[in-house]
Amino acid sequence: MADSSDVKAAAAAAAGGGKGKIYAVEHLEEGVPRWCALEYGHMCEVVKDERLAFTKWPNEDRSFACVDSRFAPRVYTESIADLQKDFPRERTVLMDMDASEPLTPADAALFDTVLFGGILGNVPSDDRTQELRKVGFPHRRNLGSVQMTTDTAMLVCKIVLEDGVALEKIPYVDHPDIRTGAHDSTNMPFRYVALSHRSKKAADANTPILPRGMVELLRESADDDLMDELLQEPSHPLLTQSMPADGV
Amino acid sequence: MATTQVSKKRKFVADGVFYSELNELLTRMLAEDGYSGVEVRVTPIRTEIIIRATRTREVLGEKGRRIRELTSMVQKRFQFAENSVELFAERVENRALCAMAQAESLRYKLLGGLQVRRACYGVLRFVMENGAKGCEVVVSGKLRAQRAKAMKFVDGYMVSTGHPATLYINEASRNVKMKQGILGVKVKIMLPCDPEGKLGPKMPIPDKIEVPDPKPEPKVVGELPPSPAVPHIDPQHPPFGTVMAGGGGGGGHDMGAGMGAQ
Repeated sequence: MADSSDVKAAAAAAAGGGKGKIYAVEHLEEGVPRWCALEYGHMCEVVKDERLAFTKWPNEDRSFACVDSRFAPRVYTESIADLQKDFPRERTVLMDMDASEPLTPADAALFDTVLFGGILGNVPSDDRTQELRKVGFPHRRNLGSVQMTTDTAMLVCKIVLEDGVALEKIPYVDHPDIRTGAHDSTNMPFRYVALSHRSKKAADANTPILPRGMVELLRESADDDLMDELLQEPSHPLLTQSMPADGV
Repeated sequence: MATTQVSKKRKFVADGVFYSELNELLTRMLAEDGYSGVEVRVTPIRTEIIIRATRTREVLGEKGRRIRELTSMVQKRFQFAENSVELFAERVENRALCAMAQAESLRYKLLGGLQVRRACYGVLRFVMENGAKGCEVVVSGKLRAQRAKAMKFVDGYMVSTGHPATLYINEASRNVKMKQGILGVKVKIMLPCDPEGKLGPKMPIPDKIEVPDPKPEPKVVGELPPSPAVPHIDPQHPPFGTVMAGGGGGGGHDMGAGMGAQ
């Protein structure tokens, strides 16, 4: 159970030196699919447990261990809209692609909590963030025009607010092609932080920072079939009903 | 079709619109029969519509029933006079080199429950085994509780720009409707060069250069023929303008001296 004194301590630390922000993620998916688990695991590597909080968590016993046993961030089953005491709205900034202002290092003095929503979105975005926007968070910031994965967004926020680096100075890789086989690759239509930001090597300027295990997941997902996801095809009286013979 | 006078601009636009609508109609109706294109030929007597497909038997139907239905539909929709439009079915020479047929085939495999990698590699292998220079298959969209992505399967060689790209690349895309949205399937095939023009364009790719093997030189057996007579030149008194051999090393000096001494 999260202690409000923890939040106050973190807030005091944040007000002190621009460090120690709290990163809150409103979980908007049904269950925790593998992709989600990998991104959440990456978030736990970027931000320490006590500064990371997941709200609207589906698991009744509020344990993160079923997702990733290495980490133990704070987990709430309630929505962040109902947690005003722990996350006061005046000191919370909602990361929103539709916001008019970009995030700047100066925002570190204004906010203690950074809120993310809209996991596992479509491209172009389904705007899942509107569910949080409706709740009425007065302060919103964007991270540029290209959609990011949620773990990348969290990493970028940490770099801007805690390391004091401007948004446009961070090296990015947009829409990277990730090789998954001898003749196949997967293109991810998102913006990622380039590995050269960590390694300081020019050779890594085109390598995206991905969650651990993501490349294996991409490789395995090519072996998925579509059976569970198909809509019924409408029939036409002049169309033949039989499937074509497999001559290929 | 209207028989009133129309301006040239309107005529060309109307022809384009007619072709687009006809193509879309036949794509939807003949998707399962390997439809790969249509050609419209306007003659004074009638308009001929040639449908290219891999399974012409299904297009014609039992005793020509289906093609008669299609003819009637086209005639009524586009207000052709009676017997002024005729439909023909033409078999596609090599369906492996037809991107429309392959995109449709891939779509049906995915709808039938085949895994994405297996379906795409199947198409890739079939296309390359039948003489294509290169093939690219892209499946893009959002699958099962994942982020949207595009899976690309490539083999061989693909040209992208310039006039060769318009001649050599055959491209088609189809959609698969899913609960989460639409999955896009794109197939791009690079055709081989065919001097007969059946499998691919006749024009060779401009940057492909063929270096023929050197021809073996014929062996000469026997005496050499006598060399032609060379006129004798007195080295002491050469004719005016003669360049003497051996003066090259000394260069201009000797030459000048020689010439001056005359």
